[in-house]
Amino acid sequence: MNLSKLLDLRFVIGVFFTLIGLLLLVHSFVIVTSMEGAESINRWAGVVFLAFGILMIVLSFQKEAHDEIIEEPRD
Amino acid sequence: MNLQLIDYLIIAIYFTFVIGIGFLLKRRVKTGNDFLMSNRNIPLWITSLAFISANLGAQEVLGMAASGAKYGLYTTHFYWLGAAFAMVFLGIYMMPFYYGSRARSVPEYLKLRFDEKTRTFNAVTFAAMTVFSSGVSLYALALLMEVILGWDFNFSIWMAAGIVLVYTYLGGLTSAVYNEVLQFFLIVLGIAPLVYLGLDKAGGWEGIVANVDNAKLHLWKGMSSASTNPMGVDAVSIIFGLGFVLAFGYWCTDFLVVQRAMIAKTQNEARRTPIIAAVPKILMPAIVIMPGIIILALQNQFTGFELPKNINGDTDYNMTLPLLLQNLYPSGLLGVGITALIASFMSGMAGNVTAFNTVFTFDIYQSHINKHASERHYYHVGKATTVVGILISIGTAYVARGFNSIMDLLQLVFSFVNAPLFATFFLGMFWKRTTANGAFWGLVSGTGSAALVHGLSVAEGKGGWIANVHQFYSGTSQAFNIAWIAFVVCFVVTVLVSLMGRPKKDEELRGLVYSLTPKQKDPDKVWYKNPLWLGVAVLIVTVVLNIIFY
Repeated sequence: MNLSKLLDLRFVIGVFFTLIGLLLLVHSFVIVTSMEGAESINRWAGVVFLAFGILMIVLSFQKEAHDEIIEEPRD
Repeated sequence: MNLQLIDYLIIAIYFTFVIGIGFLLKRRVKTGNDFLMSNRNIPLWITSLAFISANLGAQEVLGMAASGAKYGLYTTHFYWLGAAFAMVFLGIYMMPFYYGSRARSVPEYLKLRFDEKTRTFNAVTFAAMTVFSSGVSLYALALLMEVILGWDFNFSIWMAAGIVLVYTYLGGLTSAVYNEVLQFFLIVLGIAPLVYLGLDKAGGWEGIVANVDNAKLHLWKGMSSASTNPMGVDAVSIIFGLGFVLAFGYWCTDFLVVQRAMIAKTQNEARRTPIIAAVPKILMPAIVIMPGIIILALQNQFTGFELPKNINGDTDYNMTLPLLLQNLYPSGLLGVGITALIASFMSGMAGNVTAFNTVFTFDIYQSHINKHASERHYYHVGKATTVVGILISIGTAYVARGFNSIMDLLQLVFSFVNAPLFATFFLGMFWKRTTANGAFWGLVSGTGSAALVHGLSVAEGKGGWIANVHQFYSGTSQAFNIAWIAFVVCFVVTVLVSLMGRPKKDEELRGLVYSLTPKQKDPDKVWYKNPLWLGVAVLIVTVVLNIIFY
């Protein structure tokens, strides 16, 4: 993977939501809170965020991805 | 409410990404054009989401939930009446002149169409308005963080302003726009679970209907008189004042949003930007207004959902969303919700700052202070203006106390400056006889009349600083009425002064006026690439929604 992948906004957003989704999932299994139903709320939200994140990453690997990256300006 | 480690972690990840985007884009920005206009090189889906997100500031997310609780579904008029039509009009009819004229800003279009003084008047008022809005955003953020999390007021101001400064300073408009798209998804995905959990707790839509005052669940019922609906407005002032004057004035002439469409790659994409943006816009009430309705239903069934009073002893509707976050989100998701709130403040602020630096650099600095400098020079001016703009915002934030509803305050400012503006653009684009003097004096008298009406009328104890000649039913009603009066004054004065002067020659107006611009033949026969068909589709959905929630 080259650096230009990081300039594809879909990829950046995908990584962000994947991270947040994973965090919520792990949290829901590890930490016990007093709030009723807290674990399942975090778990479901985590699954949704993770799915959205992965979807964005997959989209960023579509073949027209080159159009999504702004061109290097000329000096 | 108490944040746990995981919540702070999520906020920290968000800040890291926001600043990271600034660093990634830094080396792509070399000229004033890159920094202030993204070199007109941004993909359509990004311009569309940034278009909607630049508007999705704090006044939307917190303010619309507040209005939802205060006025019920009437608040939806800000979307289905006060946005959709104007956005489609911008895309179909006005964008060809903004994009096609190669103007770099909205005030610059005024320079091309009219003259320097009209542009300067617009540039100065707009610049003042953006730094002011940005300061109000900052103030509201700091206040909210102080109340709900116990964060130090000064810390919040300097932290938020500092982060916005870093990413807009490094990557310019592109960085602001990229972050706006991230913020858009974060706000939508971060608040959607709240609506789901709230609805679930309230007993679904049946629970809402059973527990919320029926008057607050309609859009048009009770609109025949100002006294029979929660917003205190009548049908004429809402349709003409909000739906026509305020909405078109904001969406079609406010450079903050128009700028996001002007950086698209082609004119067709620039035209489709506001129309595609209208799709999430008409669905947005489900995320931003529903929380206000939900809290009303929950108040009726449970304890712990009572809104606190503010220092004046009035119900503090702005606490609607934070209160729901506190009661419905467990730590973890709470971090996401708080981050979404912070994101909304930052996107509103960055949008204002990037519009401010472009207008200042091109329309004030380049046209009055240093006309013929190098691209590199304007790049540095743009960067310096970014710093200065944020410093002024911080100053404004410290001054901006004493107003309890962010929405009313912003509406007031918009109504003075923006309401007459649409008359000027409308006449300028569609009546070739309009002269520069007509436009200028129309704008001045329109803005002046707005201030005058505010000074002569009172609503909810505000206004009437000259005399109390008329009492409006509500502050919202006063704002809508000021808007249409300013529009009419500007329209009439512009026409009268224009008729007394000599118009510009036809050759000078090509590409700037409707009747003198060759119609764009869109080679794309596919309906979704044609702004007109796309716009019609959006409007049909909007009308159907209005009927469903009659």
